[in-house]
Amino acid sequence: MLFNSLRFLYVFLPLTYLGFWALKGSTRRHLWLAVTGYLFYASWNYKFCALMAFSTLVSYLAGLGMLRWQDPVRKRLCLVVPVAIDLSMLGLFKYGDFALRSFSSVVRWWRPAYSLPTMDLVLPVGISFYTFHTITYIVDSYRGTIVPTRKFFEFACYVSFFAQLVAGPIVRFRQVEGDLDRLGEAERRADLEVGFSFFTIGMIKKVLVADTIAAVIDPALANVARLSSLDAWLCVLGYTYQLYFDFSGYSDMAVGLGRLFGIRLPQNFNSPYKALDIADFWRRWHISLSTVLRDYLFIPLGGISGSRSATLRNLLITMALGGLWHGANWTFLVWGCYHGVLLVLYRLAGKSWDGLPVALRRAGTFLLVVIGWVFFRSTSFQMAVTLFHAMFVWRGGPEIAGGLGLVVAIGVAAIAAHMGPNTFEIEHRWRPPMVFALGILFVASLVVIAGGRVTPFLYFQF
Amino acid sequence: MDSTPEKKRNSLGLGLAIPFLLAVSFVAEIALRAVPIDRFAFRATEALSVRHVPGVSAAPLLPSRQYRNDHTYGDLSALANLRRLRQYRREIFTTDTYGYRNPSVPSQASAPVAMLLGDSFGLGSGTEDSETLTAHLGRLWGRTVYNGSGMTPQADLKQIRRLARELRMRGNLVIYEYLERQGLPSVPSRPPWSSRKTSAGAQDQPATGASPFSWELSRLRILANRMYRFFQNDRILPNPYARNASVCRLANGTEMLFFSGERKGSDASRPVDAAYWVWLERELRSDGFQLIVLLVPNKSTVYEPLLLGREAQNRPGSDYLDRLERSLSSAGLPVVNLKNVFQAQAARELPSNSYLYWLDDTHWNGHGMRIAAEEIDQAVRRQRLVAPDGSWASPKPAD
Repeated sequence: MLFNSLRFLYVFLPLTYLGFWALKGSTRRHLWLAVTGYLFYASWNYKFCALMAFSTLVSYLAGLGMLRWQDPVRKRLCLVVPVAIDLSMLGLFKYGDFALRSFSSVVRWWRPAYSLPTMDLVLPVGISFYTFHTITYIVDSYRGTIVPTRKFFEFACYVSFFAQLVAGPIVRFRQVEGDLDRLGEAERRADLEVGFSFFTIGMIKKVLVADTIAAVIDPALANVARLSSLDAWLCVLGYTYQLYFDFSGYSDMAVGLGRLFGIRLPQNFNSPYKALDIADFWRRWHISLSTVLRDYLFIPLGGISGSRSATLRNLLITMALGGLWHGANWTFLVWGCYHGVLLVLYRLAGKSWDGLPVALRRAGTFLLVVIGWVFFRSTSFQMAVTLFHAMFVWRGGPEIAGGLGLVVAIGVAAIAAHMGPNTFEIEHRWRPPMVFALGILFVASLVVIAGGRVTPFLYFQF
Repeated sequence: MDSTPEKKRNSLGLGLAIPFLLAVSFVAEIALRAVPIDRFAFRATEALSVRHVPGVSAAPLLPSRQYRNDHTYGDLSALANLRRLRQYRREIFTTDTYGYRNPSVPSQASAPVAMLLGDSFGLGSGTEDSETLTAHLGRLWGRTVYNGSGMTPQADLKQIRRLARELRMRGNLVIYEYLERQGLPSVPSRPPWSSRKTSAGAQDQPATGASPFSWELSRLRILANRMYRFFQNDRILPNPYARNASVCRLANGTEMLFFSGERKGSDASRPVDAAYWVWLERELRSDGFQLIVLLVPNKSTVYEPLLLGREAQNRPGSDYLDRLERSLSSAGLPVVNLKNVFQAQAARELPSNSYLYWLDDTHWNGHGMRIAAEEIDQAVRRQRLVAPDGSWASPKPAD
């Protein structure tokens, strides 16, 4: 069940909303959100609910253990066991087959007939997100940043809250702890306007902008060898905006849904295409992931506290693993390494870069990011190379179908992304004409959902 | 960003507007279900389609319904979003209580003399009830011919048997319509026909329609799809189905649409195998039926030789149906191959702008079905499937 599906809009959301506000008290509301979260999750595959429940239970018990035991050995055990379980689950489901295939490929260099059987495991939706929820909870508890909760349903609600369950943002317990504690006192009308405003804008971004672009570029990129240079650039630019409007649209919808239930989810995108340098880009793009990578990987590796070479190494490792987090494919690893190298270069030559005019820095950063998306979008190195070749070695060719729609959609997206405010910069207090305009766009989104193709959010696959 | 609740209560904002719009659209969705779907669907197969639930119903269409549309048009012009090539016509499509296309269930006194099994060609998609193949055969023979065509090429024998029993058919003719582009049907590994338990099986229940709340029957979905399709014109949005239809010009200058999948080069390597029909004939004969196989050519097979320019000359003609006909004949099965008849007829009638298939559709039209009916009639008489006195012959003795 997707946020942009009629089943969600007509059935799940109204029932969950009405049920939630009919209940009084934090515990009942925690329980309601946890149960509805599992129902939401079960709409993809009910069997994977057990996996999430197991991860939730283990982390909750580990938190209780940390409250009870203060000696370092037991406390460390409460850290290591649940984190190891979460990472094992993630590793098995997300990277198991990838590792087997890669191993076979390596062995085939000297034994051509070699092939390991793969497990063909189905990747549980959202596993990358909810395992990070539980891992950050455990690590923060161990570090003393948070006090583990004794309320099981509060913790279950934190892990399985449907708004952020399958594609983030990656919420840390401390970011929503206060809201979860006060959920019983939350007032229904308090964030009603803001919630629906976030949700509506997110849906418009996703359905009208991202999906329109996708409708044109997906068929075109399926035949990447036929693309002319102009169309290759159009497709890559289109994907640049599609990804942003898709994922930030989803994040806006998640934030809006959170507000409707009295939970303030954190900002995930802060106008990333306005970034002045690559480090700035990573402070603005998928903020919840980049801060998790910083706090739970880069800093534990040593961060910037060591020598210059150690810092650069830490940057590369962090970005490479960050790339691999997005999926079990070497192209993601290369994309992560590419950004790692850019960050290293910026660290080495940042002062020169910062001396350039603002417009040039902004355009240069954007271009570097666009080039990176080629690896991100490509399903193989061959596709990436073909796409790069089409982009940088001139060749003509037939115009792609829907080119006019693509140019218009890219134009609208570019204006919004480069010049407009992001959803956290908007006041969300709309005058009637804007309410009317957003209402029209919302209805247009419903028409596309009902009559067109309903596409999943890109980050579901991660 | 946050504002006080007091301020928000005084404003007519999105907090009210969005739930209101959702509620209105939901109520509209429910209310429109009361309006006949004919007003929204562009042809009967869209309006009357049933979502199949295995083990519950084998009916191809919603039972006891009549669909009327004076402005229906072809599946290819709809698929390719080519409004200018639409060939508007009237479709009156009636289903009986079993969910098959028959104006009514034959009375006990007039058991059908034949049953047609087939796909959307057998159904007579896009035509009036009076123009279907069974209607033409009925007029030729002066007897009822039951249309048992569904939406799948592989016949459901258990369903045929149930229907035959309900219709009190015995010792009659079964016409199996096979379209050139369909895959070869295969012999079931465990023939359901061999099972004689017919009264309690789920598939023997009367045909049931789709749930009135099914998404397939949503009027709003159909309307929204029309609106969305309007933009899928390959300029604003790509038309993902456009490649399924190709526009070609006939020698008389008329544009005709073809299903692209039919125009993929030579059929020379396509295997033929009569095994399924041999098996079917044996099964039917054990219950007193005589099988005749009707081979229907693709539209492209008939009209490609009549195209303007090099396109027609360079493409090898399809011999698939000829080879299949020989295979069926050598197995002793009565067969009517419409390929040569249709090709000759189409060539003769081209100057007068008369066609056997709709210009904007994959399917044949009423004229094509009339020619097919005449061919079947001649074959039935020629092969003495009908006794000289006009009564229906008994099946041939078993080999």
